[in-house]
Amino acid sequence: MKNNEANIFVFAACIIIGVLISMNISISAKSSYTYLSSEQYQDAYTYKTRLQNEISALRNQYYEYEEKLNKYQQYDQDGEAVKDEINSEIAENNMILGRVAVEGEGVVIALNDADSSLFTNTFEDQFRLVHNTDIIQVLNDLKNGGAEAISINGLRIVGSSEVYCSGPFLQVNDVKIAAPFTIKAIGNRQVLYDYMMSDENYLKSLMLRKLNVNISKSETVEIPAVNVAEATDFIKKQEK
Amino acid sequence: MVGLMGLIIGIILGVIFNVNIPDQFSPYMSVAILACLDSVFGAVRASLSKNFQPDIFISGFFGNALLAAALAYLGDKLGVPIYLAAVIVFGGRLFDNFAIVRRLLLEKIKSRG
Repeated sequence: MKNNEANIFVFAACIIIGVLISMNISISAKSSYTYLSSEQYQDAYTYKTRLQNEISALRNQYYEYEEKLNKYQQYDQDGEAVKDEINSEIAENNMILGRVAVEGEGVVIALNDADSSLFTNTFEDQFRLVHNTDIIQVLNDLKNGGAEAISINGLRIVGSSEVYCSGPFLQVNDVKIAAPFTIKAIGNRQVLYDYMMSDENYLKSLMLRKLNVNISKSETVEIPAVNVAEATDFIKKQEK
Repeated sequence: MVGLMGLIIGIILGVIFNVNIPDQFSPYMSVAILACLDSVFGAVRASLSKNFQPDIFISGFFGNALLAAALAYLGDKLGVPIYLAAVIVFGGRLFDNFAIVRRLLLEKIKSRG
């Protein structure tokens, strides 16, 4: 009897041990370790962070679309609500495309050639003028800094906008404009201002060239609609 | 024999249900398994020498495992490999117990034959 009892206990204990062992074995079989150098670790870490950001962005988008879908389903009988929703979407897209005038907080950058007293009739005078390349650089910096809408001397910058050298003038959206140039940008004004005024920004080099550069934060920046229509003679929707 | 059968059944059960413990507990688990094995060998020896006591066995089985895991954890936190103490003690006792079991079994067979 005593022996039997011991056998039962040993049996039960052995089952527990067996389960524990199989748990550990499955783990050691699953995880394989690779050793990374600090650089590889850094890369993997940034990759992970980027993926996480993408995931959260996609999740937000998903919720947004789900909400929209819910709204559509909810007001299925009532076509009016769906129409409103579509109209508001069109209005938003028009705003992004530059078809309507917009306003919001942002920065205003005034650019002008250097004072005439600084011109010396030498090759250096070239550096005292605002060129089309300078404007392009500044526009690029603004876009990189998160500007949502940009205009230069009242001309909205859109995807098809050109900044072209035209003698003493610049050509933007088929319009010739002359100095002084006023570039307006809508976005987080503090971020835009700090970004444009950072040491590595192109604006600093313009200041070093002694051009007249003035940047100010503004609570309401008004940007007009784009003045040219985009042609759609050749583009077609791609058939998938 | 009973122990071996239990072990096999346990492993099969574990594989079928595929229970997984978190990765960071796996080293502590190994020490705990060693402690459990030691208890089982102790029980086999005791049953052969007819002085098996279930309460002692159960308390030893779980107590030793918990203590071993706790020691391994503490050693991890302190930076001292304390789990070595558990490994050496339980490993040594395992062999001691096995030696005694072997002798008892051999004597049994001899006296029978």
